[in-house]
Amino acid sequence: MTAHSLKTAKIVVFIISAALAAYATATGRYFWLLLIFVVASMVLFMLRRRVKEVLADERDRAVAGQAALVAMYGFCWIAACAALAAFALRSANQYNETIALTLAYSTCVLMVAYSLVYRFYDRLTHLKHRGWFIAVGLILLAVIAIGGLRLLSPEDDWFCEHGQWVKHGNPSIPMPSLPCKDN
Amino acid sequence: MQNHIRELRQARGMTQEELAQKAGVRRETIVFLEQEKYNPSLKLASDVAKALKAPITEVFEIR
Repeated sequence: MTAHSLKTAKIVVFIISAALAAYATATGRYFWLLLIFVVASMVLFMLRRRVKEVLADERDRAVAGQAALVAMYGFCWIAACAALAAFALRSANQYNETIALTLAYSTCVLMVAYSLVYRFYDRLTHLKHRGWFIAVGLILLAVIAIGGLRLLSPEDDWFCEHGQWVKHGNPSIPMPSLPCKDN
Repeated sequence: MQNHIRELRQARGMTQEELAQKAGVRRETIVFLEQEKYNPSLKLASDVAKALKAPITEVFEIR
């Protein structure tokens, strides 16, 4: 198998996986999603092993690193501006606040993840306690992810009932400052 | 950095694809090297020199 035919195969696998994942999501079969992801990863891994050519060299890695950095900075700036705009326009739509929080949170997670991964690769060759570094990084990411889920979870939120904000569960955010209007 | 990869490769009757295979890189990287649009790492410079069976100082020179 050549590198070119691997690219074609990758596109086909992605299209089929995306279609199946969309169908699984639409029909509520969430276990299928995991199955599709595992099968697609295995197929791609097996196809990759059949290629004898060099798929990526040092120039590709340098270009990829630069592209990733620009894409990350671009995303962070756009997301931060969009989050500020959504927060400023929260009175126009009740969902704008959630959108702003989601964008701000995902930007923070991306920046923390980038910093951790960068630090890991930067010191990879010099680290004596690599296992500790990975463990601390994973715990930190888990704490951030759990905290974020708790913050953004609809289970613990403020709901508008009969013109008053009613606490549901244990929301981490304060009561919305906007007046509550029933739809 | 200046290099003589193209001249040395042609003198040895090698294609870019063959040189790329011997140096363990993609053909596009050889194209970029020959056009002097990419400065290789010391390891890649050494691999290219080995693939061309020439001393590294003959293949690359710092201007």
